[in-house]
Amino acid sequence: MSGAPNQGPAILAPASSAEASQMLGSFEPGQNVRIKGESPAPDVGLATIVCANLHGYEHSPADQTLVAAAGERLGAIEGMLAEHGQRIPAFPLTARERNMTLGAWLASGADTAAAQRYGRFRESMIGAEFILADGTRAHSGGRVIKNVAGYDLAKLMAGSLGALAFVTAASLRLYPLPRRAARVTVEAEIPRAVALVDQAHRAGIELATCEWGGGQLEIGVEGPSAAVEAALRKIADLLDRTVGQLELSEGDQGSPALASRLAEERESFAGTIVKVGTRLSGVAGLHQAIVSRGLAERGVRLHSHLAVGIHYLGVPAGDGLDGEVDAILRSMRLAGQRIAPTAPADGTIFLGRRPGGLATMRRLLDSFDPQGRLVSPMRTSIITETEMPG
Amino acid sequence: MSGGATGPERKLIDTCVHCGFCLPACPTYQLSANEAESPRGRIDLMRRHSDGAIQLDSDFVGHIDSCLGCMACVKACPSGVDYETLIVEARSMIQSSFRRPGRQRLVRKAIFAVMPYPVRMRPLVRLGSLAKRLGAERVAPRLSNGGVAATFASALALLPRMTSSSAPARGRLYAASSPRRGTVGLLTGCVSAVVFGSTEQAAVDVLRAEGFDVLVPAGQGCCGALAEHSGESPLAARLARKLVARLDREQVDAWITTSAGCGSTLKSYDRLLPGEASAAKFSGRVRDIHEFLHQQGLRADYKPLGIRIAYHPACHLANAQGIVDEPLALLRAIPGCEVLLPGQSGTCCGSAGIYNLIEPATAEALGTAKASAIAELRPDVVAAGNPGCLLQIARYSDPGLASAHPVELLARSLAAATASGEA
Amino acid sequence: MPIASRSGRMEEFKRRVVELVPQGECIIGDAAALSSYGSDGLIRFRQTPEVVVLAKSAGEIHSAVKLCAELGIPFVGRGSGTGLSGGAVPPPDGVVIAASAMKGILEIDPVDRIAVVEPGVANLVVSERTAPFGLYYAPDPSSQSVCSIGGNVAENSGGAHCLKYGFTTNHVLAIEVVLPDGSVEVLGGESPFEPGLDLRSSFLGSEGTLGIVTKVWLRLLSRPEAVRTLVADFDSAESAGAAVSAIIAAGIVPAAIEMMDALAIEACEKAVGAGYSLDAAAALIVEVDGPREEVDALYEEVKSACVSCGTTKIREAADQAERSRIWLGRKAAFAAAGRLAPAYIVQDGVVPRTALASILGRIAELADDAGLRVANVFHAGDGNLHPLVLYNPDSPEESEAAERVASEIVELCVEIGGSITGEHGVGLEKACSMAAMFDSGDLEAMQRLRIAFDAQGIANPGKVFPTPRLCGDTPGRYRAHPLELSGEAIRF
Repeated sequence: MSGAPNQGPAILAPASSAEASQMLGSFEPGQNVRIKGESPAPDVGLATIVCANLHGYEHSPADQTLVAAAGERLGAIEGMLAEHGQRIPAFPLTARERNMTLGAWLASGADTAAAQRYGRFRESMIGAEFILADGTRAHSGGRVIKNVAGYDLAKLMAGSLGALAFVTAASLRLYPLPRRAARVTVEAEIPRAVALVDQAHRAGIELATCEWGGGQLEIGVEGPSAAVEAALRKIADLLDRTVGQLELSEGDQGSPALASRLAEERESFAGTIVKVGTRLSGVAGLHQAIVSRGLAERGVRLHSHLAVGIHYLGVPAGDGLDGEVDAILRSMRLAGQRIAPTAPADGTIFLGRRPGGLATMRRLLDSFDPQGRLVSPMRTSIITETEMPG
Repeated sequence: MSGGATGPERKLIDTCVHCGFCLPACPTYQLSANEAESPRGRIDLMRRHSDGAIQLDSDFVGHIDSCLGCMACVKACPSGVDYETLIVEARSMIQSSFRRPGRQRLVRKAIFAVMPYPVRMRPLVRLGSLAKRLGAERVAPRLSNGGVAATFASALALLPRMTSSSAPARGRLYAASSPRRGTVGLLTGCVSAVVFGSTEQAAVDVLRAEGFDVLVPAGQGCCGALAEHSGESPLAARLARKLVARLDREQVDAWITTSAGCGSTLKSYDRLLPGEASAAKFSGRVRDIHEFLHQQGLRADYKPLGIRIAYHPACHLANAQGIVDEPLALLRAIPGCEVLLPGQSGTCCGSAGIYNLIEPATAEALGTAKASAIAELRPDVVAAGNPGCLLQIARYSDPGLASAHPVELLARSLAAATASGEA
Repeated sequence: MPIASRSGRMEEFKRRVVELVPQGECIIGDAAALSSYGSDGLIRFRQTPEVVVLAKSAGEIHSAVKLCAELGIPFVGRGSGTGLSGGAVPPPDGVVIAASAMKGILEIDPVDRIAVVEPGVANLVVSERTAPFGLYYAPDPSSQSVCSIGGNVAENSGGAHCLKYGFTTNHVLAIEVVLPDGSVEVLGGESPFEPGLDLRSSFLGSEGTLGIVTKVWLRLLSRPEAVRTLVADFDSAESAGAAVSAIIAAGIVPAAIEMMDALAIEACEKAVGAGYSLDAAAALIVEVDGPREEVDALYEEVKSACVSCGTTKIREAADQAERSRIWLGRKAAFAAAGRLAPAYIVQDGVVPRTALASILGRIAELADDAGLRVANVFHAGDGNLHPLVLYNPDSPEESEAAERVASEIVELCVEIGGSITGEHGVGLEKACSMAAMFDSGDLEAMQRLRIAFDAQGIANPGKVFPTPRLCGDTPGRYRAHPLELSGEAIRF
């Protein structure tokens, strides 16, 4: 144990669920704590509980499931699974993400290019073990991929930014590594990219990844060699080219190059990253609004997991751009969330249309953490939004 | 049979596991979305009644009455529940143990006092058709909000403007007009005999052309189907016994019926008259005309008609007798015809025996839906193997749409000039 | 103003609901009809409701729930009533709010591949209506021709093809719900990403205890370019189980892998004549779908996996009609068990798929000991078993033995790391078994979620969670595994 809860701000790094439960359970009323992946720089006035010391995993290769403690690093998990020809539905990962703990990754609700094939990471969460703010130990789900016993609280933990509970372990569904993966890059502005995705759907091409950024569309296809070959032929047909003329690259892990580059760009972006979801065709309107209002010229960037409809707006700091992006989202009835930096000056991470269910989210926070012990930008934002008029 | 005052046998009820696979097949459930208006709901009511948990009251009776008896649920049921027996026995229990309100009783009495008897039916139909030509239809619905007058109005609306007068003569043997393959008897029925004489004539023509001597016995009367499907089991049994006695000694290879509703009862006289050997033997020889012609194989020279035919699979043909492909195959044997199935082709048209007389609202909803699905095909003629269906569809269709039994189209094709292919 | 007596409140409800719901005919009050709403697809449980509101619109559901909230009257939502755990059995002194008449498809967007539907729409209808666009809705419970999308949301329904495609939760983008306090919210969005806490995920599979769904945004998929299906016979369940493992180990994710034992084969064959071999000890239905070249390559590998595990016969579906017939047999399996015995219990449990063969042996032992027959139908790819415990209801001893065997089977599933239910839900039937999987902390966390949605506890009370009334005062306690206590293992 790296610190005692009763002696003011400290870093708590439990090595087991039992220890974490005991730490949170022994908090005094009125004491606050935030949940992190690992020890942050000293932050005066706030205790932090980190999952980095929670280790261990159980991998059942034949069942294609993994139960891992929240302190395991994504890179280590990725490497271990690759030896068994398997993967988690998160790729490509940046160097920073590989170094993230599973707990931090889950709490962030981050998405990768893998969302195209496997859905968001939460979709593959088949169970979670967690500690409530008062120290109550609980779990939901289990280690089998099919299970409807009780509420699905595991998926609820994904993306909750540590507002509900301290997740100590997660149970995941795994997938076989593809035998072959190839990707094709095309210069295509958004309207054409959307049209190409629609044509690809109609042509029976199963997109493994579908990334857009900086005027480029990258389509990934995976499968047995002959299937990849056939998919490439279809893509070439769509583009009125031969396979030989495609801008093509292959990699054993199916890690899309454009996706990696875009993810790294976002990590080093000087400003706010706003994540927003739309229908496939909805991104065209969003892109149009950014361009027509001159925001692109002022440095606002759009990246996209295009076909699943998850997008990122890079909004340079200052210059009132935040407000303009907020106005665009509102007018389009789109709900956005700041994902970095996550603690904005105005206290809410939500932009644009308010997400549905805010009142219930508020009650859920009150129910899970009635004393408001867990400090989280999600909590702050939900409270701010529900207390704001209109 | 069991049933009677006690209702269906518990063992039969318990074959239903309440899975609900029948719900999408059931026209009344599709219309009402009410569980009690579904096959499993009705069976559940029988179960609850047998448990003594619910009364044999007007609500219970209403939900059983509303069943069309189309048997679409039987085809959908993975557990093989004998719904036909269940509903027949539940209705029989109702008729013997439940005292209906006066008006309902009167209506049923009127129907069963007339319909099974061609002698009573014929003059009434003629009168009705005449009245209809004079515009009585516009007046009739205003006569009353229910009861006998309303039933009269429903019946009137169903009647064709002209009654058919070309029925084959009774008590005759029509000799085969091609190399002889056998002898069959034609069952002429009651309503059908009055309203659909032309169908009977067509059946005789086609069977003769196919090489069969056709016997049309006199004095047949009603087969009991309408009565059985409405729970009037004693009446049905009486009619059935009479028919068997009348036809027992005739030497035919098969008894042919052109009415699907009659066919399904004619084939199961062992249920109506359990243990009566002559009844079972008779039933064993009954064939629907589509079934018979398809089994024997067409040999005559069918000439092109060049028309679009919308085929409506009558419930008592497709569901109760499992005769699905045969009528289509026969129609497609007519050169130059396009044979089409309307959307939701498996859904009942709402005719269902006397249903359109006693449950007019549901019958109207189904009839309207069926007519519009057929109209979408823009056919020249609608064909169905059951007279009730043809009347019902015609009622809700554009008056310009012709309707015919498939065997009539076969007969027309036989008679068509070889070269012209007139329609 | 609270009204003291329960019956007084119900009288007031009956009086006022007629005014609130514009079309009076959608209130069902006759005793016979009410009685027919007493059960869902599991007829062992029955409770006659006081009133049924046969809602024609979301507004009517909203009005009815608001009135329930005001008067503190318990309610349960109902779709087609095909659930197999008693989830739609009305609560005592409660109201049924049925969405069976709400069958509208509000939007189909073939480019964005979204369908917006009312909750009463049957699952299969969505696929039928989107077929002209080359699209379909992937989750396919065996009852898909009947079961409603609203019910699928409540149960997080699975189906034979969820091995590859996932469950309802993976295909529902958003839901409009009426919460038990009478408020209306949309949870989720038109993309799988919606900011905030993911309440959509919690609502999916909550079995009516968090509210009633009134509108659903569904994700549609392209119909696979090619589908190939085979039935492989085996002379033992062990070799069939080995074939399943071999297929998965080859890195293949088939669209479906179903296993049936000899009794199940017999039942299906009697019901629909699907052409299964009556002399096989076990049979696998394996289906591969996707782009044609992928299907061709993987299908051959599936075949050789079956051969190397000793299949005695492989029947390949020659065309769509044969494929349909093969599936028709499988999908009719539950109801078809009625052809083997006058009564049976459909059990639903999950084990890690590697444990399939061994649990089959254990189930056979349990059945032998009790002198009963058990037919087995599995979604083998994801370890979801459906043993059908056959018995004669006229014999009280057999009925009791059947219940005992059925619950022993699920306990066995939990013991080897599985679940008490893979797709039928907990409902009334398994509320008492929840304690075998979840301890008091787990259940408390779930209750905290429930309270956030339903402070009054009026949404389908008595379901999912063990209560003293249902289970006695001492529900089975979770016993920690020694490895877990020592910190060497993580509990699930």
